[in-house]
Amino acid sequence: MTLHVFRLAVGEWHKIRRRLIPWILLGIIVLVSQGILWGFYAAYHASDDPFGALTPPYEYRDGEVSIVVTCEDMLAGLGEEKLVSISGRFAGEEREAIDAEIGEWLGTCNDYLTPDEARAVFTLPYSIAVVSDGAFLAFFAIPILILAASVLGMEYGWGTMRATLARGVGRWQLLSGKLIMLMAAAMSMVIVVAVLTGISSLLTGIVPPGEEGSLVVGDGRAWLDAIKGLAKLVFALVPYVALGVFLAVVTQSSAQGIALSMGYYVLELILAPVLGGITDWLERIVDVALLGQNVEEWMSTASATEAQQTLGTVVEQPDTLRAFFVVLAYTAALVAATLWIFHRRDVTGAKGE
Amino acid sequence: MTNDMVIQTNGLTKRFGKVTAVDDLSMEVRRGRVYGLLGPNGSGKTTTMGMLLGVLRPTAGSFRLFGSSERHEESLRRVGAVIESPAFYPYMSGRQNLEYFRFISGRGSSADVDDVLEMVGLAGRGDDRFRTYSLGMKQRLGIGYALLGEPEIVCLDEPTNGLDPEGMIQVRELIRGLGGGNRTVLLSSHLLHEVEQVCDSVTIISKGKLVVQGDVAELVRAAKGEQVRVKTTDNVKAREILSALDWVGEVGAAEDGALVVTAPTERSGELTAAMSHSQVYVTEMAPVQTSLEEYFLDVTGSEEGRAG
Repeated sequence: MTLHVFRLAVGEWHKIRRRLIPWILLGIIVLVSQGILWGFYAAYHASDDPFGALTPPYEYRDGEVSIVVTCEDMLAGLGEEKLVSISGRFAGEEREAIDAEIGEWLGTCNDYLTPDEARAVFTLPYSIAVVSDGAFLAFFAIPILILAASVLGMEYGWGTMRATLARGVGRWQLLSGKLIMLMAAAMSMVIVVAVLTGISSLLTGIVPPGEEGSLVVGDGRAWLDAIKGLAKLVFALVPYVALGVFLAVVTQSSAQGIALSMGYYVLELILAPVLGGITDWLERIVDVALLGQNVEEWMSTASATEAQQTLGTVVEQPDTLRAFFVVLAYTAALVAATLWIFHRRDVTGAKGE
Repeated sequence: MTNDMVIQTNGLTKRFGKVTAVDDLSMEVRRGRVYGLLGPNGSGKTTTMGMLLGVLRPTAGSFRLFGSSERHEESLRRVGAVIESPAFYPYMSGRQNLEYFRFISGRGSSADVDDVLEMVGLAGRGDDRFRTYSLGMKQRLGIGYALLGEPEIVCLDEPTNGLDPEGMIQVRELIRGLGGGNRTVLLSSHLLHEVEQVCDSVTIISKGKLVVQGDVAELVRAAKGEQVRVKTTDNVKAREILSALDWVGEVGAAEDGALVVTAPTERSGELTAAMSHSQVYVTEMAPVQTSLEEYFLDVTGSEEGRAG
């Protein structure tokens, strides 16, 4: 039986590689990931302190008094010293206002990346971790939703679902084969993106020629984290495979499956902050119950930047274990519901989609 | 049930909402013959095949393939079928499509794909994409798909749809040759002459219900009885003479004035002797060829059959 399901998955693989849609979707993912990497590269080379620019130097002028403080000053502990040079001249409310502004500078500098950190963003192995970061999950999740709904939905459209089932392949076996192939496709897409990101990262080290800096930064732990990030991304895509397949089976249509999948994805993005903002109780429910929230939680990391470490910022620890089980539960529920519906439903002829 | 019975349905019923497509259908198909599933459009032929092939779930009743109602999927691996129009992946070639279906079902070899393409006359176009095929070529590929892997039952749903006259003849000859030995063919059609030409046995359904099933020749004979068409020198007198014979059934009149006598054809000599004994002489005599079409219209009480 296992061999039969494996055979079906291989058959699906041979079929899908001949279709245009997976290649288009892969092309989009690759373009986006390369855009992210080369965008960071361009920003780094466009300025001496590109990420410091996110926290522009603050200037306070009052008559003859002038001060410029950067995040690097703050991280080096020079902020207070520079402040004294001007704030000593003021008293009362003016002094309090200047002190408050200095306090805000500290918060702003949380996001500051040192030049080394800024360069690491597009250098191996951190570059891989960056493109597989949860912040860019949508660029993987949406193509996967489209692919999953298309793979199932088009079988109804062409009428080939009937032809396949009439060969005696078995319903749950056929669905399992498709799910396995889709998960393999999602994993392959992630691997392709990682490999191309790695190649581009090496290119950023040699272009322009003569630039100082290693082609690879980070130790074994950094590589492990990058691989772990990729694995987490693959797992994060699994419920979206299940969601796309589920909606295609429910609607027996590729177009409707894709539309509903996308609608659900966008609706969650809109609803989560709206519902979460109503009450704390609802926010907790949203955090625990919504798929997107848990995928985001699962993908988030607790590592602090150098600035955050220096400033002693408290980095919130994500509840990845809870998120893991919620994502798993979503996947299991969607797959079970799909199998149940698919097993009982009549399979109609070609719809001509 | 004997091993001879490859398909047996028992009270098979399928409803789509308020519409009953197949109603309490019980039929039997024996091994090694060509069976026709005959009925007007919308009579439930395709729905019946869909249930047998596991793509439609029966609302009630049951069926057995190869004597077993268990492990239907395993039984289906011994069946080759095309339901409704042939459905294949448009972006793959005919050969790739057949290769895919061969691979997933684990039946046959790559060489079989070539053989099947040759058999259905697509060897030269096997590498073209399915989307470029004409309707006739799609039908041929569908038949090839059904034959792939040496199935014991071949189910074909309106296989000559879209074929040109020459193609129809070829396909009918092909189907005729498929039955026999270990292989059974179940041919669904609304074309009466097609079923008559190709099938040994027929199951006629109308509005989802079984009307009758049996051997084509026997059904026609049993329904009408054997008839002889006779023209004589005096038809009025001939009618009186023939009506008086106790082994002769009804004596009717044809449109051209000839008599249509219900009597065994092998006793035609006795008919002529009886009439000549009374100085009535036969000028023309021939057995009446009752067609399946006439029979079909009789039993279904419908003009729909003429649609074919």
